[in-house]
Amino acid sequence: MVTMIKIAGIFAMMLFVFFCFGSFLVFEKRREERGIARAVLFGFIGYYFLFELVSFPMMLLQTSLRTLTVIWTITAAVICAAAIIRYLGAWKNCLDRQRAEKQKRSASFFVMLLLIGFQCYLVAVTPDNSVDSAYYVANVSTNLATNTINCYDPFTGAAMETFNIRYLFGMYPVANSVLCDLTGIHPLVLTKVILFVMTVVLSYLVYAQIGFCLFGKKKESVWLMLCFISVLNLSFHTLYSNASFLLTRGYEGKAILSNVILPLVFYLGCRLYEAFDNRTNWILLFMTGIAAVDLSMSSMLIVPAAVSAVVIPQMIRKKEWKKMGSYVICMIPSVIVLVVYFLGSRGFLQFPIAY
Amino acid sequence: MGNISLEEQGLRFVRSCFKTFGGNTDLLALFLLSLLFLAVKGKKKEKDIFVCSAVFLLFTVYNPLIVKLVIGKLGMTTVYYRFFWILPIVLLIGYCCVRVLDEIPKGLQRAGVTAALVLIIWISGDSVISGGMPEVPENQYKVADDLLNVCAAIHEDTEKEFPKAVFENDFNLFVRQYDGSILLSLDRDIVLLSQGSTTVSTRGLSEEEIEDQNLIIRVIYQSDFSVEASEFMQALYDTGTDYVVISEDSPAREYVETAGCSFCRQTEEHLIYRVE
Repeated sequence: MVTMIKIAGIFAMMLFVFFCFGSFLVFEKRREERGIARAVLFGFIGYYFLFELVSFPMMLLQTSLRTLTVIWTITAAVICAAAIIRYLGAWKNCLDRQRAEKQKRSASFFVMLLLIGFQCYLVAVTPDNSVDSAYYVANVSTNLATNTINCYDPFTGAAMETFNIRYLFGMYPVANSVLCDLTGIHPLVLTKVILFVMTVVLSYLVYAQIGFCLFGKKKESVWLMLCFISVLNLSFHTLYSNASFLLTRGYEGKAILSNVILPLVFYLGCRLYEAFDNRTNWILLFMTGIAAVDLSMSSMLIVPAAVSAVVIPQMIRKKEWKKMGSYVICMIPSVIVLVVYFLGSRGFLQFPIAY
Repeated sequence: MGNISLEEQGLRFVRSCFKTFGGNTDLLALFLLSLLFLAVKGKKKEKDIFVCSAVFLLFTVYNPLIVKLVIGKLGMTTVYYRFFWILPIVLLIGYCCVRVLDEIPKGLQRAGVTAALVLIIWISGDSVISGGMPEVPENQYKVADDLLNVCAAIHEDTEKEFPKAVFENDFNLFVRQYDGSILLSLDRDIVLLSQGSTTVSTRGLSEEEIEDQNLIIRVIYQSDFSVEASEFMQALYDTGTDYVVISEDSPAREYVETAGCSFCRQTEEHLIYRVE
């Protein structure tokens, strides 16, 4: 019972922290931009974007995990406090506005909740046996057991001579280590229950936002679309599909990449379609590039390809060549990661660990 | 997709990967149909957002020539399938289903078409719960209860902060997820390689380390008792192993005891031996 309360509490805390982070991007804007779901999604990106910038240098400097936990906790607390002070009024107005706009809920809304709820239950009880969990979760346990950041091999626990180039920029397991260190929750409970459910929730929040972009104010169409997407996710079970990753391995960085990040890039593409000049969209694309690498190193090629797919056709069609600079800036983080990975994997660049 | 080789498949590599990506489902066909639907009957915004992006990807990331020249050089052919994640497959099919329904006025006909669409999706797909609903886990960690017992038993017996152990396959993947202070003698990738995997590597382990681990795998995993007991014990010493954990009904039980490991503790389903 205590564990259930702890799980629910940490889940709610994470959503609140994402909401606070995202408020700086959403509630600073005009009223039409404001929305709770949008703030959570943008905050999710903002959280991992900032965590990458803070934790990566600390890893290279070989600071202890506990030091990182303290620094990151203070950072996040300051940001949340600032968000509360600055936006509490705006939050209340937003809630009041949503209550005022509340319509009678259609059947499709409740079916959607049922289907998403079912998926949340499914992932919460699914015993994941994937071999990759031996990296993602054991990395968290290893960092905690040794009070270090990525210095020991997650598979065996042996001390490593250099940082693993394959996962060099992927600080997501370290973010999980920090959460476990802070809250005392076990890595298996955090990853295979809390984060597993979180990925499902975030994924559908993104699809909902895309739905509102496409259907406008026709909420019932959006709920219906999410119902169909639920059925599709439950049916598209192959070894490689994003749906499979969502419902069988949703806590892994790759699953978040395929089910949250890439749809989010698509959503940003939809926003760019309406407002190609909007600075917030470009800032978010840039932040997504870095947050994505934090979550999964696979992003270093896949996210630039996705960003290009949503930006370049629009740039050509709208003849908005002046935005080429913004596009190039969005690509820079991935290029840097790719170059470092390429040099590291061929032995030209190494990051030794000193003991 | 370790079984699809760029060298062998050449320009057909992308098509083979795409087909394998779809698995036993026909949902990729539904996706392509949905794309065609929007290309022909879609509004300008739908074409611009969905179709243009898909065409761009077709000429770049899914272009067999570019794959051969770029992806092959980067050594990413085994994970090429991840580029298909960029395609908004479930989103597009779901969106098109709603577009179809939007043309039908509310009523029995619309309900019927909705049910038909759901049925088509269900039949075309392969359900994640086709093997049955997962059972509620034994514990909050979603690992076998006995794994917790084994880890506790090892820590009770040893004075070391980080004891090292050999585990059978069912526990080897999960032990360090549960307990990061127990070191493993057998590297995950060496075990996978011994099982025929083509998507992992030895990752900078020395030849001696690989040889020692393979000796242990031959005995514990493959029940190959032609390995000299002295060689097996030497491999355990060389890897710094403190404990060997095997299941009660393991064929290696007698071998392990005869080779020189001393019985330490027993849990519900496992036997723990000390390497003296």
